[in-house]
Amino acid sequence: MSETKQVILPIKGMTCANCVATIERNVKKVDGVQDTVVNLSSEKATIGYDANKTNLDTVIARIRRAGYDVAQAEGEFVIKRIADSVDAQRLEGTLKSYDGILDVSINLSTEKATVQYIPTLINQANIRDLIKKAGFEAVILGDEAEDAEAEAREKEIRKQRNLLILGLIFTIPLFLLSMGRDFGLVPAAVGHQSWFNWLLFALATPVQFIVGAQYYEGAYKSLRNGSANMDVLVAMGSSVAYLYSIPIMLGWLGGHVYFETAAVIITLIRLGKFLEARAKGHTSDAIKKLLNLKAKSAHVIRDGQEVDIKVEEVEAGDVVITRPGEKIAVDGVILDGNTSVDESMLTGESLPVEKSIGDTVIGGTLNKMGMIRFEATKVGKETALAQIVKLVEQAQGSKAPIQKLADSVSAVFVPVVLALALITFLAWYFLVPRFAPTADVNIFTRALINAVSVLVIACPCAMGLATPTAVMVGTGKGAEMGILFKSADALERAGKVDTIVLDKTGTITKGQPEVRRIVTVQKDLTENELLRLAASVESASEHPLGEALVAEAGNRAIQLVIPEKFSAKAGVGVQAIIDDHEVQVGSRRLLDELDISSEAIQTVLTEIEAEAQTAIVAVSDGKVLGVFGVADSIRASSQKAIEHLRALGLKTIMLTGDNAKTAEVIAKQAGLDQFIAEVLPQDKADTIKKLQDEGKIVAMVGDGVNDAPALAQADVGLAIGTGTDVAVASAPITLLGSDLDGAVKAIRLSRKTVQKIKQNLFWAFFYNVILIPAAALGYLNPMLAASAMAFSSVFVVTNSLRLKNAKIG
Amino acid sequence: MTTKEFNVPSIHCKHCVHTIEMELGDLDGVKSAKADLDSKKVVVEFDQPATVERITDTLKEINYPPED
Repeated sequence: MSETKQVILPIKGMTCANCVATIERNVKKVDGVQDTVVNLSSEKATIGYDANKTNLDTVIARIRRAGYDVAQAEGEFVIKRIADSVDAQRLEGTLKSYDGILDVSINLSTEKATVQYIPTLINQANIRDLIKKAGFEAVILGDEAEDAEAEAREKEIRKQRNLLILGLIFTIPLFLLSMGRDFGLVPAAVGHQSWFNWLLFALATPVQFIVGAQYYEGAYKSLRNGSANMDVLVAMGSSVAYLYSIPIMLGWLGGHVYFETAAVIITLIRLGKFLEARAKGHTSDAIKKLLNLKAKSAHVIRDGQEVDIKVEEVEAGDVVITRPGEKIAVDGVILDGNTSVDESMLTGESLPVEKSIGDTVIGGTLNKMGMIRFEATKVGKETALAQIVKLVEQAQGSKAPIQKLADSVSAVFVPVVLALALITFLAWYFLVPRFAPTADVNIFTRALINAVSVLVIACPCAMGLATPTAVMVGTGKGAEMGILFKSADALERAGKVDTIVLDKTGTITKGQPEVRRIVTVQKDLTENELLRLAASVESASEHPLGEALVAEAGNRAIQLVIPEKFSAKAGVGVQAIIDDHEVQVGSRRLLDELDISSEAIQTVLTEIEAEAQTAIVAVSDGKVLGVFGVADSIRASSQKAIEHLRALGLKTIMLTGDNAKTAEVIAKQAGLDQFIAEVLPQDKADTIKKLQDEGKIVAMVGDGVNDAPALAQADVGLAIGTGTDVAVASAPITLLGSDLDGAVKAIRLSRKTVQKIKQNLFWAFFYNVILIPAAALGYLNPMLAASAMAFSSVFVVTNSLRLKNAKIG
Repeated sequence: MTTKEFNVPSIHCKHCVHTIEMELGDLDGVKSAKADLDSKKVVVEFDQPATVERITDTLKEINYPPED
């Protein structure tokens, strides 16, 4: 019997009819697919398949293998009523089982679920319904919803607090009276009256059913869906104590009542959750701080007049005026005026940056002394600030590999604990009395209480919080220092590297090479004429060395000619037609390519390179015209940073396309361990791979745009100096600003964060593992168990918060 | 192990390169297939049971017929 399903998938990456044929042919190859029709203009594939033979995931995998992808959308939802990681995993699993949902990631600290889905198969309203069916509540995050979210959080915290207060009001007297009676502080005459038990019952009942209602609800939802979460443990533990005490109170059974046990369990766990919720609020402090950087209003010119408007109303293209001491409203390009801007809140660089006509300014930074008019280029969600916030939120929501391990442990935990509790009870009821009989203890009660202790102590909530809270604080702290981790994975891996490769131009050096020497080879050729020819060719090139020639020509006020038939060859040079002559400008390699060799030239080249300059030759009509010596100065901060990197135990390697001699001198000056020179741009990624094949864990620091492949190949790629075009840099870590010290801080932060995570996991696990046997053996009464439990959750969250004060330098 | 170079002028984009390399790579006996977008050449390293005929047939089937 076949179950035919038809789906329409949006396909990405199709460019021509061949692609259509390729996709159709590939998808048809999947066993179970009955028909496939791909439409190029609508970019959709209609696929019919037998659901018994194959599934959507297989089809999508096949499409990806063919080199295309299925368009996906991402939706963020705030989920309420998630108790612990067992709930989170259940929800993730449930959602993923639906066709159309590709991936789900739930972050317990932020209480957000990020869902990747196929927009033609399912929409956000559907997803919300699915979440409801699983027993939770979902709120879609939109633009204004962020404020709504903060409000909802506040309300939740207040509700928790009120329940807690209610619980305390009843539990404290209950506890005092109970203990009082046990210790003889209450006169025996009063203590033994039957109404005393009724009093205890009256105090315990509101706690059980009002304060504890949430646990009953949560337990029901969890059990109904086939899993057991911490609500189940708490509900069972407290209910057993409460219900057992009722027949005793009514006089049908003899013995002690345990009302205070039930109430204390509920109240203490509630206290733990409350403190947890409060602390969770603090973990997102970094984001709040970033959001506060946003300007509230701007002076904009509309219809020739200067008006004050809300920053949300600024449009791209508006002319914005910023006076001394004001915050820059949005991202833009300066039209006139010059000033210095304090960008430290974003890049961490304390020195103000000079800005004048044509420079970009970033919304949220502080204008200092001058007045400027600039054109708004990016507003609202597209500003650098907004993108940074989004990135940090995404990173905070991502899962660190180490957490997945903890999650899988938690999943089996609860059922195992329930089994243990049962064993504990049976052991104490049947076995112990045989081997160690004690006359004055009610056997049933003792067995029961010990089982309850086991139930209560084994709550897995601390384990679910251990990693996310540390990740949140870590990424937040990084963002404050101008280090953007794109994912928890990047945060975890950065500290593990043992080798760091630094791209030379722009990273170690300033990236602004200057012409230091000009040597003309042809007689009757002046320096300026040589410069004019070479710079004219280079005016069409974007190579930094070429730009140095153009800059020098500008300094000497030399008029350049527009090059004709310009062409470039990576790693070798450029060529064009200037004044009807073919002129080539390039590195040493150019001479090899053109098969020109001359002792005299070689001498000049060697001389120049010995001075740590890069030699650029200019050739025309087969003859060498002259040689330029171009050098890029090392950033002052780089030397210090390299020192620090080595102190962290990393091997520092410089990667450059420069010739070996120049590279050697610079490497020595900067204090590097090793250098790899004469690397063609397209080979940079291979160089990294070679290091990795040697077993090294490699980090690479380079320009986010030009070095993208190498950054992707590295185990951890750090993009530096890309400015604030955060979206363009797709490396795992982006360093805002251009200080290499950012890499040092990133590694230190990563190591400290991983340390914290391990501490948290250790405590969470240790606690449970040590105390469960203690509870089983009868050393822990349920109230102590509840307090230990609450303590462990609070401890984990607080420990993570301490990361904020860690010294990263 | 035999190595043969094919001329496939209809290669016009990176997708084509990927498709050719993947489809040929899937053939029994083909050790490696490398297609170049600039030169429009496909270099295939293969052994039994792959044959020049089989490879040519596959290329024709996926709409990238080799030409001499």
